[in-house]
Parts: sequence; structure tokens; C-alpha cells
Amino acid sequence: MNSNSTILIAEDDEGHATLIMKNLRRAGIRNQILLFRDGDEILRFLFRTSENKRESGSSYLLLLDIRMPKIDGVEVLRRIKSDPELKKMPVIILTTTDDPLEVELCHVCGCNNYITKPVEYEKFVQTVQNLGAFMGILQIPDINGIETVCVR
Amino acid sequence: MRRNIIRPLRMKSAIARKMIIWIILFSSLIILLSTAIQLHMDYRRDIFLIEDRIRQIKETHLESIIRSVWDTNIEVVKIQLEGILKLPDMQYMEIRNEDEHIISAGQPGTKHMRKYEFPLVYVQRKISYHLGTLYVTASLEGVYRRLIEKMIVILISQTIKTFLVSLFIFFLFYLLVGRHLRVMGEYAGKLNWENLDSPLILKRKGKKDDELDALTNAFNGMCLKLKSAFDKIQMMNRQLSESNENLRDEIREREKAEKALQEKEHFIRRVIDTAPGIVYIYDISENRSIYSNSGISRLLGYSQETVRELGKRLFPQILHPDDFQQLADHHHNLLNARDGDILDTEYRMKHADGDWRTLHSCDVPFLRDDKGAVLQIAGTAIDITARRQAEENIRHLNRELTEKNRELEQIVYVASHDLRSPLVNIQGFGKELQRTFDEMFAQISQTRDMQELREKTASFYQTDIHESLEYIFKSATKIDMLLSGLLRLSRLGRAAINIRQISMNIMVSDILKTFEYRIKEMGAKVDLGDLPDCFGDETMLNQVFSNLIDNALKFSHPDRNCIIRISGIAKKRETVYCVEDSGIGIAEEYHSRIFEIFSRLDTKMPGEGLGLSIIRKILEKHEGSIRVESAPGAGSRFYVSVPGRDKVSENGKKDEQQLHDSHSRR
Repeated sequence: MNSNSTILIAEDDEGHATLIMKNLRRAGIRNQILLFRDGDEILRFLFRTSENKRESGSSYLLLLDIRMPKIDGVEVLRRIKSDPELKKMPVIILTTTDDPLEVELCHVCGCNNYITKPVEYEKFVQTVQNLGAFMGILQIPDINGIETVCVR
Repeated sequence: MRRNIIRPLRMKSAIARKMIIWIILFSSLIILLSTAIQLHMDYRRDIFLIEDRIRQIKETHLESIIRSVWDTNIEVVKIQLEGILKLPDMQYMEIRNEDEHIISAGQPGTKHMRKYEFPLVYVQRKISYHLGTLYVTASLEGVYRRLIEKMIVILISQTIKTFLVSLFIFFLFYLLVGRHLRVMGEYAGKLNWENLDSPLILKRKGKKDDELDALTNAFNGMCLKLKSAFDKIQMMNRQLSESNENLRDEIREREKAEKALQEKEHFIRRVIDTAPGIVYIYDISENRSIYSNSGISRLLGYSQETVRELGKRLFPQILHPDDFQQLADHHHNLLNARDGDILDTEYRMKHADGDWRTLHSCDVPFLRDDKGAVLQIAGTAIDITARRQAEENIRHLNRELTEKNRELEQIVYVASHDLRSPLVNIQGFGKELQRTFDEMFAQISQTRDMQELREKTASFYQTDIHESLEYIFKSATKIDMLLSGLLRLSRLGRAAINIRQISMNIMVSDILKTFEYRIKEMGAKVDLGDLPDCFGDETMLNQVFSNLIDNALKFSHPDRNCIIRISGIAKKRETVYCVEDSGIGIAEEYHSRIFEIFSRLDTKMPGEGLGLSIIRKILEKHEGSIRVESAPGAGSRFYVSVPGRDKVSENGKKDEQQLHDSHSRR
């Protein structure tokens, strides 16, 4: 996995975030991980409206929770996918329900994968690794101006 | 009838009496006339006799008397005069010379006399000597006496004769005519249409063939003619009465038929008039109402006279302006409608009371022109306002249900998310614990040194085990909190609402007292205006204002003094309260989300995300509402609207009605 890549986690539940991070680390992923508490925080980071903002030249993978305070995950996904630059960023939805309507909605909005919590962490890590490896092989120095990668 | 019988008899006697009177009168006249003539002739003969005697006297006696006077032989003269006096009818003799009475004989009479005078002239030697005058008076008494006697004789004899003749004539008349007349009279009197054919027979002997027979024959002929005429009349009478009876029957039939027709017409009119809708004939070529039953009064409150008066102006005046085009199109479609086509439409009409009523009309062609185009239409219209209203209500309820459903789904969705969230933690950290323990046991089993063992165990506990357990307990607590929150909301939904008048000034003051410590601690300032009373459930509204004040304190601005302003205003249909704070405010995009269940904008702040959900639920139950005006950093204003007295009483009635309906349905 490209060491330049940063894993973004948007998750309001501290416990969930801890579990995700533990499992990623346990699986040997050493990438930088950034944690955001709600939809608003992650959007401000991505759209560079806060002090903590994404950098050019880095590639990102977003693990997005659906139910968050202020702005929920679906809205965050919609805004990311309607931005010409950000829409190439791979997004994995992490959520507690497997409501088919919601799954469908997220796929329509353009998420790259949808994983239901409680997390089968082996499967989860596998997905992240696969996706990350896929992104790494493509040698994406920046998410700007590169064709969409779609892993379904 | 009696009179008719009697009258001819009377007439008969009258005829006889009249006849006798006339005979007597006439014969009396004749007698009088002939007697007068005879008497006159007798009188003349007697007078002639007297004059003849006077002449005899003159011729025979006068010479001798003159000589005797000349001789102055008075005695002789006297004798002579008396001799004359002996002649019939002589009354008185007198000789006078100038006015000197010489001699007289007899008695001078007083009446019925005739006087004659002879001059006594003696001639001697051609000398005439006037010796005096002889006055001879003849009495007519004898003449008259004779005349009277004669007259009496004549009158008596004539009268007797006349009487006898009259009697005879009367008898004769009776014998020949009168009795037959009486028979005829009696016969005629007894005559009626039944015995017209029994002929009149007079009791007469022999064959006469005279006027009576002719009369009898004519009479009998007349009777027979009468009889046949009578029979004819009778027959005609029978025919007439028969046809009369027929006519009467016919009239009765006709009257019956007419009555039946009237009844039928009345029935049809009643059917039309009592038809539940409006039955009408409308002229679409002239845009004019031709006929409408009384339904228009029932449905729209206008009298039929008004409808007739309005005529062309009817539709423009009472039709809803938005429905003009539609009705015009409908009429246009009807122009080319075929017989049997039923075209329907809906439109709104203004009721006489000013409200709009929705009518549903079904129209068919009624009258066509020569070319077959429809001139007039017949139709029925019914008031479907209630139905439309009910449909609108159903739509409204549907919308509400959909909304409720959506809300429920939202709750389920949110609950599944939020409830699963701590579960995920419990599961996840449970696994972590398992992994930690596995690792711990692996390491411990290889460790012999007690000290090292203790240190390793402590390290495992302090890092991983403690963390995991903390998350598990926290999550369990969270589940518990969420479940109790859900339970609270669900209990609120089922709780009975007990509406009464609430003194809001007292209630809000009491609430503020419970926050007294926090208010003092924060140095907050509360501005409580005079609040109008309202109608609601006191416990629930208490919760509403507690939550709002709690929020106002909780979300106060870190850099600003906390000011809470509570005010209220009573309107006709609602009472509105406002809880205003100087806190951090809420961005507009979150204004709707804040009322959702478990919705929290800031997870760092304490709370479960139920406060505003509960407020909304309570106000829904009151049929009130809550809304927010706020912007980040500018504070917030929460407006609570509770139905006013009017609306409360209205709804109360509605509820009662619904209760009643449901009871009666049962």
C-alpha cells in the first residue's frame, strides 16, 4: 500500500473508531489514519475549510459511517461524489444496518464498498487491503485528475 | 191535472152564460127598438088624430061659434064649447077678447098640452069684425097613457118570449153541443199518454157527419197523432236518457282518468321534487335554465323564482370562477352528444349562505334543433361537497399517516442504527477482550517468573482489558439509556392527554425554580413576561418548557452572558409562546433535524437527543406545533403554538362526534 496514502475515518462513535484502528494496525497497515467525529469535520477537511485540511499529493481512502451528528454519511458521500476532484477517492461505507434501501442509496451515490457492522474484522481488513493495494498498484500520487477507480 | 179537467166545464158554463146574456141583451135591444118604433108610430097617429079633430072643430064648429058670439048668445056658445069638449082628448076651451076672459069650458090642465087658437072673425058686408080668440087646449095625457099601456104590454110579452126562446136555445145548444163538449172536456181531461189510443165516442144517434163528428174525428186523429208523436218522444226520451247515461258514464270515466292523470302527474312531480339532487333542463344554446326542481333550493338555498329571475345570469353569478372553462367545455361536448350519452362533470357553486358546494352533474341531450345539434340538456346534479370533503379528509389523513409512517420508519431506522452502535462496541470489544486474553494466556503460560507474570498481567489489564471493559460498560449503559428514552417516547405517545386551562405564569415560574441553582451558577438572566393562559395537559407542557429552558441553558454561548426571554401572546385560534436564548444558535440546515429522535448536533454535549423529539411529540398530541428561528451564534427562538380556546372547543366537539359515531356504528 502506498505509504503516501492516508486512511480517513469519519466515525462519531469512539468505540467503533478504536476498533477499526486496532484492526487496521493489527493487520499491518501502517498508513496514517485520521479520525473525524462527524460529517461536518470530514467535509471541512476534504473541502479545506478548516485548519486541518487534506494535502495535495496525498491519496486518501475514506471509511465513512452513515449515522453521524450534524451531517450524515450519505450526505457526505453525495457531496464527495458530486465534486469532480474528490469523487475519485475510494469510499467504504461502514454502518450498523444492512437496510437494502440504504445499501442501494450508497451504491447509487458512488461508494466503493459497503460493510455492515458489527464488523467481521477479517473481512473488513481484507477489503481495505484489497482496495488499498489496488490503489497502490495504480500508483496514484494524487487523487487529482485521475480516472475513477471503481471496485464493486 | 185536476185543474185541466175542471177548466173545460167551467168554460162550458161560461159559454152558456155568455150566450144567454148576449141573447138577452140583443133581444132586449131589438125589443126596445121595435117598441120604440111602434110607440113612435102610435104617438104620431094619435097626434094626427088630435089635429084632425082640431081641423074638424075649425071646419064644423067655428062658424057656429062665431055666429053665437056675434049674437052674444053665451049660452049657446057654452053649449057649443062643451060639445066640442066632448070630443076625445079635448081639455079646455076659452074665448078671450084681448085679455078679457069671455067664456071657458073644461079644466085648464097643467102639463102635456097642446094649445091651438082660432081668431073669431065675423064678416058682414065685407067688413070683418074681430070678436075675440078661441083657445083650444088638447090634452096629450090620454095619448101618453095609451102609449105607456101599450109599451108595458109589448115589453112583457116580448120579455117572456125572449126568455122562452133563450131557454129553448140554451137547451138546444146543450142538447146538440154542450153535453158533447162536456164529454169531450171530460175525455180530454182524463186524457194522458197512456190512453191516447182509446178514441173519443159521443153518444149520438144516427149518422150525422156534422161539425161535431168532424171535430171528434179530428180530435181522435189528433190523439192518434199525438200518441204516435208521444211514442216517438218517449222512444227518443229513452234514447236520450240512454245516451245521457252513457254520457254520464263517459264523464265519470273521463273524470276518473283525469284524476288518475292528475295523481300520476302529482306523483311524477313529487318524484322529481323529492329527488335528492337537482333535476333540471338547461338551454346550452342560450345559457339559460329552463326548469329546475326544488332540489336547487335544498342544495343551494335559492328559491325557484330566484333561479328563474336570474336566468342567464345564474351560472355567472353562482359558478366558481375557476370552473367556468370546464363547464363551457362540458356544454361544448354536449352539443355533439348522441342520444343515450351521459356526460358528467363537477363544478363548484356558491350556496345562498356564501359557501361553495361541489356539485356532480350527469347530463343527457334533451332537445335538438333541425340539424340535430343539442339545444337543451336534461341533467341531475348532486351535492358531493361532503364526499369531496371526506376525500380531502382522507387525503389529509393519508398524508398524516404517510408522515407518521415515515416518522416511524425514521424511528426504527434511527433506533436500529443507534441501538446497534453500542452493540457493535460490545461485540467488538468482547472480541478484543478474547484476543487480549488469548495473548495474555499465551504469554503467561511461557512466563515462570512471578514478578514478570504480575507485570505482564497488569500491563494487559491497564491497556487492553480496561479499555475494552470500559467500552463494553459504556455501551451497555448507552443501550439502556436509548431504550429508556424510546420507552419514554412510546409511553408519551400512548399517554392520555388531559386538557384544562393552565396558568402559564405559575407553571413557568415553578419550572424556573427547579433550574434556580444552575441559573445562579451560570449567572444567567431570565426575562419572564406576562404569559397568557392556555389549554393543555399541564404535565406535558411542563415537560415542553422544562426541556426548552434546559436547552437554552445547555447551549449557552461560551463568550456571552446567558439571557433567556420567555413571552407569549394569545390569538384567536392559538396561543403562541416564545423561548428565546442568547446561545450558540443552530444553522438553518439542522432546523428540521434537531427534532428527530436521538438527533444530536454535538456528541460531546451531554444528552440523549430526545428533548426536542419529546417536545414535538407533546405538541403533536395537543394539535399544536413547534418551530425554531435561529442562526449560528445568534441565539435561538423556539415558538410553541398551542390551540386557542375556540379551536379546543371545536376539536372537543369533533372528538365527541367521533366518539358518538363509533358508538352508533357499534
